[in-house]
Amino acid sequence: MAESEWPARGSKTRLMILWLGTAVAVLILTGRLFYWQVMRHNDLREIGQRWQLVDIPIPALRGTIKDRHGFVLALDEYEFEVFATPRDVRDPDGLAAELAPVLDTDQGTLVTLLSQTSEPSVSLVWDAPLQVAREVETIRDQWNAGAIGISPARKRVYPEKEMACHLLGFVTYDHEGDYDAFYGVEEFYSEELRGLEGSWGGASDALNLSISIGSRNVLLPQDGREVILTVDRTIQGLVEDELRRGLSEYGAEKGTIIVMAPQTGAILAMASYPCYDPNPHLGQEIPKELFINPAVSDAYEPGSVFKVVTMAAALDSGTVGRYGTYYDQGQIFVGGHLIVNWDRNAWGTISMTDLLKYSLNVGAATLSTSLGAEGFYDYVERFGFGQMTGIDLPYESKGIMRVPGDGDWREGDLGTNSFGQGIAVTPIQMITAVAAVANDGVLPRPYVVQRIEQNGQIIKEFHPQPGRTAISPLVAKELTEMLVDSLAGKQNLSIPGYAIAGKTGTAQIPVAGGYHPVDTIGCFVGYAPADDPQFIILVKMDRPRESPWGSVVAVPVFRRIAEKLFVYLGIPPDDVRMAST
Amino acid sequence: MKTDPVYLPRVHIRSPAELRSSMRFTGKTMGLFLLVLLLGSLIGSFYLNQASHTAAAGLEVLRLTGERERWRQDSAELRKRISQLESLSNVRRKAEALGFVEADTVEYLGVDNLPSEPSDAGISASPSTEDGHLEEPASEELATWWGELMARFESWMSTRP
Repeated sequence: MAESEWPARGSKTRLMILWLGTAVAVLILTGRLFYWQVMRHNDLREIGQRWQLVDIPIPALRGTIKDRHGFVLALDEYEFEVFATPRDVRDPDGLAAELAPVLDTDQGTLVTLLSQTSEPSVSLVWDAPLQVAREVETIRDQWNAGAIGISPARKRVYPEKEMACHLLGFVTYDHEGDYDAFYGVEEFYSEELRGLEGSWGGASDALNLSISIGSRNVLLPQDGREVILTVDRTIQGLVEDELRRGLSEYGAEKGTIIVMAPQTGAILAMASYPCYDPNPHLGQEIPKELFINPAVSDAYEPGSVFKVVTMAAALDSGTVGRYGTYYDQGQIFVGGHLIVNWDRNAWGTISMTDLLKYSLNVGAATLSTSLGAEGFYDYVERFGFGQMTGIDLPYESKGIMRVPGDGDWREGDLGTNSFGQGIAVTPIQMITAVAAVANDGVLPRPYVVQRIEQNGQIIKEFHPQPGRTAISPLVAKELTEMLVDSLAGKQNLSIPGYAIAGKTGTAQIPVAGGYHPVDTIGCFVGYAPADDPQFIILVKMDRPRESPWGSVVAVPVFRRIAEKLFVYLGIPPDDVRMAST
Repeated sequence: MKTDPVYLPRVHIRSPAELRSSMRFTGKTMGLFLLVLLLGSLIGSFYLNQASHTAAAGLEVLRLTGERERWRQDSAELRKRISQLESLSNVRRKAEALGFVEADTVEYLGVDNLPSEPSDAGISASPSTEDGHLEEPASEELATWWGELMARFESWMSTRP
């Protein structure tokens, strides 16, 4: 009995071991399956998709920049890379013969490129225009389809070339389709202008070519938004013409002109020279300093134009009345610093209007010292100096202004600052400050973009934002009349029928240890019509050779621009305008 | 005496009824199999049909996406060409070629009692009936109207210095 049961017991044990073994194996397999299928699911799916799915990007076009009337100043276009896979080219000579006239390339060079069978792909042309790409497509259809490829890329185009280059900035694309926006509106509004790239996602075969069945995800690209500027292309064009002409006539090194609507702060034109063509050119080397927009980034000593601020402060504070006078002794000491007039003469009893007319430093210093440091600098700050104007452009400088309490402020600064020496301002700060006088004493906030659109719909609209009140409307009106009177008799400024308010300035250029003995900056800021200002213009000419004076080099440029603006903007002479209102 | 047991094969002979029943079962099975085959074929053909439609639609999507891109490229090219033609330098060059010059001085004339609508034109720009609805002018009327307009234009041109 025991002998007959032994094998049966052994069989059961073996069966048990087999079951256990199987169970353990199943458990292990289940565990591994769980690990790979559940725990590593996402990783594996990602790896699989990477192999199986192809994701073809569809580039979005960067938004267009337009002037206030809708004329295009910057837009994207396509250019095409034409490339070939040499190992698929059966007849390099024949293909090169067909491609050479289309690509405008040497046939021998193409044969060499198409014969490089060790290379997986060779680029024939980087920047073929659309028409060439279409012709290449026709040739490709006649030859082996895999032999020639065409890949679109984007390119930024500035149809007006150099016009408003500092204002617009520029964009560079690389061959991967990535880009960088530098300076100007391009940089400041880059997020708005940037489009959303689309993609075509789907299954791919072993050659990474897309398969037309299976799941896919087509995401259409969304082009960038349109940015509409306050700038008027026609005004910008005439300003640039006059700037170039002025620089040539007076032998100036460089210059800046800004035209602004003083009641809103809208910039109608902003030009600086030398400038550059932002359109990308092969091998083009542009000195980096040209990229900086001098109108908002370059600080300079404003010279006598600053007397407008000093006079405004004196009038508004009640330090002096419009018809007040002072006795000009030809010199004044402020903080131990001797201040003299531009002609080193004593002018005797002088009215406030004549102070402006003859641009007397002693008079300006007399006013600032009468105001006192606290009062004077309070007004200087109210006019926006020492701080950024908030214009929607990058790299705005706030200038250099020392105030009492600063370690490097000296009492003499109170005197020199009153006539624009020892203080550095940007052209945009200066024109904004004088615009406050034209705008009933309220400082406008300058801006260059009026709205942002997408597909014809307005996404954002920028309305004029008045800044702080610098002086009272009454004082602003009085000062305007004084500025008009101070310019009376200046033949090179006279535009018959129109009253113009403004102030000339001739500033010395600081160098190490003092001021340059010869070089100056000549400038003029003026607005018209004086009783209802429609535009304000700042003209700044650096280092003119023909004459050092702003009244000689900047005023004629202002007059020529103003004359044309009266015609272009349809501003009738004062008497006609008064009669019709 | 113990004799070894004799094992005889047990033969089961199906009765005709059993045989018929068995054949019926086989027939049912076959029928079921064919039905499944048929259903499978139907489902298969349906799937293949759908797959081919999907593939065709996928190809169409690919083609349309490509075509859309080509239109976008053409459109961008046209926009660029328009902007270049509209550029200030080009417009100025064309204007100068046509003999236009810049306006240097503008004379403003004061006009008393300037009417808001031109009253002496004599020709209605938009002929309309009394109830305000537009009416298509007869061809003779149109010819007369055009003739009058041209005559006025020529007389105006001839009076110019």
